[in-house]
Amino acid sequence: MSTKFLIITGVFLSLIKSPVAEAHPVAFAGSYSIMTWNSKDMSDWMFTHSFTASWSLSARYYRVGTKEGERTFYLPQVNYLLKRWNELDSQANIYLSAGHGGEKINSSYENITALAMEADWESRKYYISFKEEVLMAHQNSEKNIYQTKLRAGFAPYQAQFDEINSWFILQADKSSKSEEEFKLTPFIRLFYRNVLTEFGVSSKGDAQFNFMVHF
Amino acid sequence: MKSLLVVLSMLVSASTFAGEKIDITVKGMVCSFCSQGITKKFTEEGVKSVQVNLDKHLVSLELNDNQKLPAEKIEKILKDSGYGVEKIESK
Repeated sequence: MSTKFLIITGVFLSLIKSPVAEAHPVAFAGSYSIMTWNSKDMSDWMFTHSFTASWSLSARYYRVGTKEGERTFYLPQVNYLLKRWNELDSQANIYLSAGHGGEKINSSYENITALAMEADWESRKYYISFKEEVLMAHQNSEKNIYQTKLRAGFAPYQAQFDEINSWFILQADKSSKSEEEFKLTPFIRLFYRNVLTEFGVSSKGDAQFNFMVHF
Repeated sequence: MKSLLVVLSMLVSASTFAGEKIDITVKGMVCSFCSQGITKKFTEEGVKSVQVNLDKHLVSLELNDNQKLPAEKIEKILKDSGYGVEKIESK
Protein backbone atom coordinates (compact mmCIF):
# COMPACT_ATOMS: atom_id res chain seq x y z
CA MET A 1 0.00 0.00 0.00
CA SER A 2 1.57 3.28 -1.05
CA THR A 3 2.54 6.15 1.22
CA LYS A 4 0.45 8.58 -0.87
CA PHE A 5 -2.64 6.44 -0.34
CA LEU A 6 -2.06 6.36 3.41
CA ILE A 7 -1.54 10.13 3.56
CA ILE A 8 -4.73 10.86 1.65
CA THR A 9 -6.67 8.37 3.77
CA GLY A 10 -5.26 9.95 6.93
CA VAL A 11 -6.27 13.43 5.83
CA PHE A 12 -9.64 11.97 4.80
CA LEU A 13 -10.25 10.68 8.30
CA SER A 14 -8.71 13.49 10.31
CA LEU A 15 -10.16 16.61 8.77
CA ILE A 16 -13.48 17.42 10.25
CA LYS A 17 -15.55 20.45 8.63
CA SER A 18 -19.37 21.14 4.71
CA PRO A 19 -22.67 20.67 1.75
CA VAL A 20 -22.37 17.94 -1.30
CA ALA A 21 -22.12 18.52 -4.92
CA GLU A 22 -22.07 15.91 -7.53
CA ALA A 23 -21.35 16.77 -11.11
CA HIS A 24 -24.70 15.93 -12.57
CA PRO A 25 -24.80 15.28 -16.32
CA VAL A 26 -27.83 17.57 -16.49
CA ALA A 27 -27.78 20.94 -14.71
CA PHE A 28 -30.13 23.91 -14.73
CA ALA A 29 -31.89 24.97 -17.93
CA GLY A 30 -29.66 27.01 -20.24
CA SER A 31 -26.44 26.16 -18.41
CA TYR A 32 -23.07 25.02 -19.75
CA SER A 33 -20.58 22.85 -17.90
CA ILE A 34 -17.07 21.52 -18.31
CA MET A 35 -16.30 18.30 -16.45
CA THR A 36 -13.02 16.46 -16.53
CA TRP A 37 -11.63 13.39 -14.74
CA ASN A 38 -7.91 12.70 -15.12
CA SER A 39 -5.40 10.09 -13.99
CA LYS A 40 -2.37 8.39 -15.50
CA ASP A 41 -4.53 5.79 -17.26
CA MET A 42 -7.61 7.85 -18.00
CA SER A 43 -8.75 11.20 -19.25
CA ASP A 44 -12.43 11.98 -19.60
CA TRP A 45 -13.63 15.41 -20.79
CA MET A 46 -17.21 16.52 -21.26
CA PHE A 47 -18.53 19.84 -22.45
CA THR A 48 -22.24 19.90 -21.76
CA HIS A 49 -25.18 22.16 -22.50
CA SER A 50 -28.39 21.62 -20.56
CA PHE A 51 -31.33 22.62 -22.74
CA THR A 52 -33.82 22.02 -19.96
CA ALA A 53 -33.57 20.77 -16.38
CA SER A 54 -34.09 17.26 -17.81
CA TRP A 55 -32.09 17.12 -21.06
CA SER A 56 -28.50 17.91 -21.94
CA LEU A 57 -26.10 17.28 -24.81
CA SER A 58 -22.39 16.63 -24.29
CA ALA A 59 -19.32 16.53 -26.49
CA ARG A 60 -17.06 13.90 -24.95
CA TYR A 61 -13.43 12.90 -25.29
CA TYR A 62 -12.43 9.74 -23.44
CA ARG A 63 -9.00 8.13 -23.30
CA VAL A 64 -8.51 5.00 -21.22
CA GLY A 65 -5.67 2.55 -20.65
CA THR A 66 -6.66 -1.09 -21.09
CA LYS A 67 -4.92 -4.47 -21.08
CA GLU A 68 -4.75 -4.23 -24.88
CA GLY A 69 -3.32 -0.72 -24.84
CA GLU A 70 -4.62 2.80 -24.83
CA ARG A 71 -8.00 3.49 -26.42
CA THR A 72 -9.49 6.84 -27.38
CA PHE A 73 -13.13 7.69 -27.99
CA TYR A 74 -14.89 10.76 -29.38
CA LEU A 75 -18.61 10.94 -29.02
CA PRO A 76 -21.58 13.23 -28.71
CA GLN A 77 -23.75 12.12 -25.82
CA VAL A 78 -27.35 12.78 -24.76
CA ASN A 79 -28.12 12.88 -21.04
CA TYR A 80 -31.57 12.60 -19.52
CA LEU A 81 -32.78 13.12 -15.96
CA LEU A 82 -35.15 10.19 -15.66
CA LYS A 83 -36.35 10.98 -12.15
CA ARG A 84 -35.57 13.45 -9.37
CA TRP A 85 -36.79 13.38 -5.80
CA ASN A 86 -36.55 16.80 -4.16
CA GLU A 87 -36.97 16.69 -0.40
CA LEU A 88 -36.34 19.46 2.10
CA ASP A 89 -33.07 17.93 3.33
CA SER A 90 -32.01 15.79 0.41
CA GLN A 91 -32.12 15.16 -3.31
CA ALA A 92 -31.99 11.92 -5.29
CA ASN A 93 -31.61 11.46 -9.04
CA ILE A 94 -31.53 8.86 -11.77
CA TYR A 95 -29.84 9.77 -15.05
CA LEU A 96 -29.52 7.94 -18.35
CA SER A 97 -26.90 8.72 -20.99
CA ALA A 98 -26.41 7.49 -24.52
CA GLY A 99 -23.71 8.40 -27.01
CA HIS A 100 -22.63 7.25 -30.41
CA GLY A 101 -19.29 8.14 -31.95
CA GLY A 102 -15.92 6.82 -32.97
CA GLU A 103 -12.97 5.03 -31.49
CA LYS A 104 -9.74 6.19 -33.05
CA ILE A 105 -7.73 3.23 -34.30
CA ASN A 106 -4.56 4.29 -36.14
CA SER A 107 -5.83 6.86 -38.62
CA SER A 108 -9.42 5.62 -38.89
CA TYR A 109 -12.45 5.50 -36.65
CA GLU A 110 -14.63 2.56 -35.65
CA ASN A 111 -18.19 2.92 -34.43
CA ILE A 112 -18.71 2.96 -30.71
CA THR A 113 -21.84 3.32 -28.59
CA ALA A 114 -21.83 4.35 -24.94
CA LEU A 115 -24.71 3.70 -22.57
CA ALA A 116 -24.78 4.71 -18.92
CA MET A 117 -27.08 4.77 -15.92
CA GLU A 118 -26.28 6.90 -12.92
CA ALA A 119 -28.08 7.25 -9.59
CA ASP A 120 -27.28 9.39 -6.59
CA TRP A 121 -28.64 10.54 -3.27
CA GLU A 122 -27.25 13.47 -1.38
CA SER A 123 -27.97 15.50 1.70
CA ARG A 124 -25.86 18.28 3.12
CA LYS A 125 -23.92 15.74 5.11
CA TYR A 126 -23.87 12.47 3.19
CA TYR A 127 -23.65 11.41 -0.40
CA ILE A 128 -23.75 8.18 -2.35
CA SER A 129 -23.71 7.52 -6.07
CA PHE A 130 -23.58 4.61 -8.48
CA LYS A 131 -22.73 4.59 -12.17
CA GLU A 132 -22.73 1.74 -14.64
CA GLU A 133 -21.43 2.31 -18.15
CA VAL A 134 -20.79 0.19 -21.19
CA LEU A 135 -18.74 1.22 -24.21
CA MET A 136 -19.75 -1.06 -27.06
CA ALA A 137 -17.42 -1.68 -29.97
CA HIS A 138 -19.59 -2.45 -32.99
CA GLN A 139 -17.02 -4.46 -34.89
CA ASN A 140 -15.88 -6.69 -32.07
CA SER A 141 -17.94 -7.21 -28.92
CA GLU A 142 -14.91 -8.64 -27.14
CA LYS A 143 -13.58 -5.10 -27.04
CA ASN A 144 -16.61 -3.85 -25.07
CA ILE A 145 -15.70 -2.04 -21.84
CA TYR A 146 -17.95 -2.43 -18.80
CA GLN A 147 -17.33 0.07 -16.01
CA THR A 148 -18.85 0.42 -12.55
CA LYS A 149 -18.27 3.33 -10.20
CA LEU A 150 -19.52 3.53 -6.63
CA ARG A 151 -18.94 6.60 -4.46
CA ALA A 152 -19.78 7.46 -0.88
CA GLY A 153 -18.88 10.65 0.94
CA PHE A 154 -19.49 12.85 3.90
CA ALA A 155 -19.10 16.52 4.70
CA PRO A 156 -17.21 17.17 7.92
CA TYR A 157 -18.87 20.57 8.28
CA GLN A 158 -21.82 22.30 6.68
CA ALA A 159 -20.62 25.31 4.75
CA GLN A 160 -22.86 28.14 3.72
CA PHE A 161 -23.60 29.26 0.15
CA ASP A 162 -20.60 31.61 -0.09
CA GLU A 163 -18.08 29.48 1.79
CA ILE A 164 -15.57 26.90 0.59
CA ASN A 165 -17.10 23.43 0.90
CA SER A 166 -15.11 20.29 1.51
CA TRP A 167 -16.05 16.65 1.20
CA PHE A 168 -14.33 13.33 1.74
CA ILE A 169 -15.26 10.73 -0.80
CA LEU A 170 -14.29 7.12 -1.25
CA GLN A 171 -14.59 5.80 -4.80
CA ALA A 172 -14.57 2.17 -5.92
CA ASP A 173 -14.00 1.49 -9.63
CA LYS A 174 -14.38 -1.74 -11.51
CA SER A 175 -13.48 -2.02 -15.16
CA SER A 176 -13.57 -5.12 -17.34
CA LYS A 177 -10.60 -4.02 -19.45
CA SER A 178 -8.37 -2.19 -17.02
CA GLU A 179 -4.96 -3.49 -15.93
CA GLU A 180 -6.19 -3.29 -12.35
CA GLU A 181 -9.77 -4.51 -12.50
CA PHE A 182 -10.73 -3.08 -9.10
CA LYS A 183 -9.52 0.23 -7.71
CA LEU A 184 -10.21 2.16 -4.52
CA THR A 185 -9.56 5.91 -4.41
CA PRO A 186 -10.17 8.34 -1.56
CA PHE A 187 -10.80 11.91 -2.70
CA ILE A 188 -10.83 15.32 -1.14
CA ARG A 189 -13.40 17.51 -2.82
CA LEU A 190 -13.35 21.28 -2.56
CA PHE A 191 -15.85 23.56 -4.17
CA TYR A 192 -16.77 27.18 -4.10
CA ARG A 193 -19.89 28.46 -5.83
CA ASN A 194 -19.73 27.03 -9.38
CA VAL A 195 -16.21 25.55 -9.35
CA LEU A 196 -15.49 22.07 -8.03
CA THR A 197 -12.17 20.21 -7.73
CA GLU A 198 -11.28 16.76 -6.46
CA PHE A 199 -7.87 15.30 -5.65
CA GLY A 200 -7.31 11.63 -4.94
CA VAL A 201 -4.69 8.90 -4.85
CA SER A 202 -5.70 5.31 -5.55
CA SER A 203 -4.72 2.22 -3.59
CA LYS A 204 -2.08 1.65 -6.29
CA GLY A 205 -0.61 5.10 -5.79
CA ASP A 206 -2.03 6.73 -8.93
CA ALA A 207 -3.08 10.35 -8.54
CA GLN A 208 -6.39 11.56 -9.94
CA PHE A 209 -7.62 15.10 -10.49
CA ASN A 210 -11.20 16.02 -11.33
CA PHE A 211 -12.48 19.48 -12.21
CA MET A 212 -15.97 20.80 -12.89
CA VAL A 213 -17.40 24.21 -13.58
CA HIS A 214 -20.84 25.29 -14.70
CA PHE A 215 -22.06 28.64 -15.86
CA MET B 1 -40.60 72.46 10.51
CA LYS B 2 -40.38 72.56 6.72
CA SER B 3 -37.27 70.40 6.65
CA LEU B 4 -38.90 67.92 9.06
CA LEU B 5 -41.83 67.59 6.65
CA VAL B 6 -39.45 67.01 3.77
CA VAL B 7 -37.60 64.27 5.67
CA LEU B 8 -40.88 62.63 6.72
CA SER B 9 -42.26 62.68 3.19
CA MET B 10 -39.03 61.14 1.89
CA LEU B 11 -39.24 58.35 4.48
CA VAL B 12 -42.87 57.67 3.63
CA SER B 13 -42.20 57.59 -0.10
CA ALA B 14 -39.17 55.32 0.40
CA SER B 15 -41.19 52.77 2.34
CA THR B 16 -44.06 53.01 -0.12
CA PHE B 17 -41.85 52.23 -3.13
CA ALA B 18 -39.38 49.81 -1.49
CA GLY B 19 -39.14 46.53 -3.38
CA GLU B 20 -41.10 43.53 -2.22
CA LYS B 21 -39.27 40.85 -0.24
CA ILE B 22 -40.06 37.20 -0.84
CA ASP B 23 -38.88 34.14 1.11
CA ILE B 24 -39.00 30.83 -0.73
CA THR B 25 -38.52 27.51 1.03
CA VAL B 26 -36.89 25.26 -1.55
CA LYS B 27 -36.89 21.47 -1.71
CA GLY B 28 -33.73 19.69 -2.87
CA MET B 29 -31.36 22.62 -2.36
CA VAL B 30 -28.56 20.75 -0.63
CA CYS B 31 -25.42 22.49 -1.83
CA SER B 32 -24.07 25.76 -3.11
CA PHE B 33 -22.64 24.17 -6.27
CA CYS B 34 -26.08 22.86 -7.25
CA SER B 35 -27.96 26.00 -6.22
CA GLN B 36 -25.93 28.30 -8.47
CA GLY B 37 -28.66 27.94 -11.07
CA ILE B 38 -31.18 29.48 -8.70
CA THR B 39 -29.22 32.68 -8.19
CA LYS B 40 -28.43 32.90 -11.90
CA LYS B 41 -32.05 32.46 -12.96
CA PHE B 42 -33.42 35.02 -10.48
CA THR B 43 -30.66 37.48 -11.37
CA GLU B 44 -31.61 37.11 -15.04
CA GLU B 45 -35.16 37.92 -13.98
CA GLY B 46 -33.86 41.29 -12.80
CA VAL B 47 -34.46 40.99 -9.07
CA LYS B 48 -32.52 43.39 -6.84
CA SER B 49 -30.89 40.71 -4.68
CA VAL B 50 -30.88 36.95 -4.13
CA GLN B 51 -29.74 35.45 -0.83
CA VAL B 52 -29.41 31.70 -0.23
CA ASN B 53 -29.53 30.15 3.23
CA LEU B 54 -28.80 26.44 2.95
CA ASP B 55 -29.42 25.75 6.65
CA LYS B 56 -33.00 27.04 6.39
CA HIS B 57 -33.54 25.82 2.78
CA LEU B 58 -34.37 29.44 2.05
CA VAL B 59 -34.00 31.66 -1.02
CA SER B 60 -34.71 35.30 -0.13
CA LEU B 61 -35.48 37.72 -2.93
CA GLU B 62 -35.61 41.46 -2.86
CA LEU B 63 -37.44 42.87 -5.86
CA ASN B 64 -36.86 46.22 -7.47
CA ASP B 65 -39.31 49.05 -6.89
CA ASN B 66 -42.64 48.22 -8.48
CA GLN B 67 -41.32 44.85 -9.69
CA LYS B 68 -43.74 41.94 -9.45
CA LEU B 69 -42.86 38.26 -9.47
CA PRO B 70 -45.94 36.01 -9.32
CA ALA B 71 -45.78 32.70 -7.45
CA GLU B 72 -46.28 30.79 -10.73
CA LYS B 73 -43.21 32.48 -12.21
CA ILE B 74 -41.15 31.70 -9.09
CA GLU B 75 -42.20 28.06 -9.25
CA LYS B 76 -41.24 27.87 -12.94
CA ILE B 77 -37.80 29.39 -12.30
CA LEU B 78 -37.13 26.89 -9.54
CA LYS B 79 -38.41 24.01 -11.65
CA ASP B 80 -36.07 25.07 -14.50
CA SER B 81 -33.27 25.13 -11.96
CA GLY B 82 -34.15 21.59 -10.91
CA TYR B 83 -35.81 22.23 -7.54
CA GLY B 84 -39.17 22.04 -5.84
CA VAL B 85 -41.07 24.67 -3.87
CA GLU B 86 -42.24 24.04 -0.32
CA LYS B 87 -43.51 27.53 0.54
CA ILE B 88 -43.54 31.10 -0.83
CA GLU B 89 -43.98 34.00 1.58
CA SER B 90 -44.22 37.69 0.65
CA LYS B 91 -43.16 40.18 3.30
